[in-house]
Amino acid sequence: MTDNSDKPLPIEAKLAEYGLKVGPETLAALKGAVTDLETAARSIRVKRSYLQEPAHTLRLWTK
Amino acid sequence: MTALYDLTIAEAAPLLKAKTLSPVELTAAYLSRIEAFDGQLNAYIRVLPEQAMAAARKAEAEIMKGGYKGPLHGVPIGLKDIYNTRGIPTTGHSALYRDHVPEEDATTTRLLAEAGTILLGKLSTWEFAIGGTSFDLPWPPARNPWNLAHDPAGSSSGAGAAIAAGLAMGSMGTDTGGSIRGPAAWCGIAGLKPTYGLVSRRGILPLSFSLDHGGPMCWTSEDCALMMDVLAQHDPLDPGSADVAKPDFRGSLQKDVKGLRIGVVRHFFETDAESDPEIKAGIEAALTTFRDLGCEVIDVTLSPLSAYGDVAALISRSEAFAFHEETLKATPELYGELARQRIMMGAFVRACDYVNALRERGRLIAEIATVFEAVDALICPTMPGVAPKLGELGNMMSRSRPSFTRVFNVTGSPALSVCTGFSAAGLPLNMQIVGRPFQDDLVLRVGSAFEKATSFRDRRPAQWAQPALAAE
Amino acid sequence: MSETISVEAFRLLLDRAGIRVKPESFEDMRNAYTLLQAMRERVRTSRGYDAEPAHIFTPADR
Repeated sequence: MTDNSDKPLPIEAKLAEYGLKVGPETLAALKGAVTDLETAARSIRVKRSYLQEPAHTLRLWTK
Repeated sequence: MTALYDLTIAEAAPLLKAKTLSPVELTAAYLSRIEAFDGQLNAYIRVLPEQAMAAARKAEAEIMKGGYKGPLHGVPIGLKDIYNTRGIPTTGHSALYRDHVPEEDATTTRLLAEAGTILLGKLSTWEFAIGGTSFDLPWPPARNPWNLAHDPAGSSSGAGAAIAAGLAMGSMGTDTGGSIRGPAAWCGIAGLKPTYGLVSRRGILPLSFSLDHGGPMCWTSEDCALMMDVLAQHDPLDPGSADVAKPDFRGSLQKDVKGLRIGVVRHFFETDAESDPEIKAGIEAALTTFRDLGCEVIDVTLSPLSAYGDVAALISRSEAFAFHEETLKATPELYGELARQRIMMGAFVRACDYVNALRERGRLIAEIATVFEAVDALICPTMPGVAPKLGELGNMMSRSRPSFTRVFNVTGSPALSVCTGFSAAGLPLNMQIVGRPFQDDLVLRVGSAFEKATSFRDRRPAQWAQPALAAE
Repeated sequence: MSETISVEAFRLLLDRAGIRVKPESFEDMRNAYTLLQAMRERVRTSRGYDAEPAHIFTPADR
C-alpha cells in the first residue's frame, strides 16, 4: 500500500505481483476494499517524530 | 613514562581519583591531538573544545572537593553523530540533518555526562548509519589509523578511528548489522554490541528500530565494561528497553574463565563464507589461548549465514524505509547516493515478507538458545578479512561475502569484537565473542581475559605517537 | 537466483513507491532488487501456525 497517489498501480498488477488469481466477481469486490485500504494507509501516513517507535518490540527477557 | 593517550580508562581512573592526573590536563592533551591529527583521520565532524574544557574544569573541581563519581569521571569521550546532544547539532553525517539541533540528550548521552565524562566532540559515521563509505556527504569519511589509505569500516567509523589513534579514551557507536563490531575489527580495538534492550536507544537516530543497538567502543574490553556499568540502565522511554537486573560488569572481569565452554561456529568461516587465511589463523591461535586458559573448546552448528542475512535485510530495509520514506520522496537530493539507494530498497519489501522475516527471526533466536545450553560463549570472526582500501567497499547488497556480525543483530545476542593480532601488512585481525542474552558481562570477561593473555593491546598505530604528552 | 526484473517492471515498482532514482543509479538498484527478490523467496517457506513473529506487542504495564 505504498502507491504513489499520482500513479496508482492497477489492482490487476498488484494481484499479479503476489501471484494471486481471482475471478471477475472477486475482482470487483476487491477494488472497493482496496480503495478503503489505500485510504487507511494514507490516513496513517503522517509526519512522525523519530522518537515514535513501533509498538511491537523484540523481547529477549521474561518477567 | 606512559603517554597520556596510551592510558586506558582503567589505567587513568585511579590517577584521576588520586588527583595525580587532572581532567583538565587530560582533556587538553586529547584536544591538542585532535587538532594535530584529525585533519588526516576525519574521525570527528564536530569538535567541542570550549565545552570540553569547561566540563573538564567542572570535573576537576568536583574531584578536588572529594566528589569523585567513579571510573568515568574526567574521562574524555566522543559520540557518534547520531547520538542526540542537547543544543549541539546531531547530523547523522547527512545534509538532511545538517541543522538538526536536539532539544534533549539521548538517554545514553545523559548517563555518560552524569558519570562525569568529558565530551570532546561528535564522531563521523556513515550517513544515517547506513550510507558509506561515501564521498558525497558534507563531511569526508573517516580513515583507518593503521593505514590512511584503508577503510576504518562503518558505520561507527569515526569512533573506531578515534580510539585506535588515541583521539578519545572511550566512544559510543551503534550497531544495526555490525556497525560497532566492524570498525572495532578493522581499527583493532574492542567494541561491544550489547544485548538488545540492555542499553537505551532513546535519542539515537534510528536506522532499524528492532535491530539497532548502542554500545561502547574502547581500546580494551575492560574499558567497555567500565562504560557498561554506566550505560546499562532500564529506560521507560525506550519501548525495547529491558527491565532486568544489571550485572556488575567490572566485578565480573575478576572472575576466572577457566572451565568455560567455548563454541566455535566453524561453518560460518569455513563453509558459509570465504575468510582470509590470516583471519582464520588468528581465530585458531585465539582458540589455543582459550584452551591454555582452561576453557573447553567445541565446534557448534547454527543455521547458515545466509539465513540470518535474509532476515536481517528484509527487516532492516523495511524499518529504515518506514522512517525515511517521507524525506526520501520529498528531498532525495539531501541524501548521499549510498544511503539513498540502500534505504530505498525497503520500498520493495511486502508486508507479508516483513512479517515472515519476523517469524523466521523467532526460529533463529530459539535455535541459538538451544546451542547456548551446551556452551557459554561462541567464537567466530567479526569480519572475513582485514580493512580494504578506502572506497573499495561494495555499493549495494551483496551475498558474495555474507556478514558474520548481523547474525547477532537478528538474535539480539551480546557480541564483542576484539583484536587477535596483525596481518603481514600491519592491519588488525579480529574475532567476535558472543554470549547468551544479558550475559554481556561474561562476554566482556572472556574478551578481557584474552586481551590480558596476549600482547596485542601493547601495539598502537605508530604514526600517531606524537605529540607524546606524558603521564607520571 | 531470481531473474533480473525487467526495466519496465522495475520502473513500475519505483513509480508505485513514489521514489525518484538518478538515471545512473537505476541499474545498480535494479540489480540489487534481484538479490532482494531472492531473499524474499527464501524467507517464504512453509511454517506452522505456532511460528510467531519475534516481535511481540506488550501493553504499557512493563
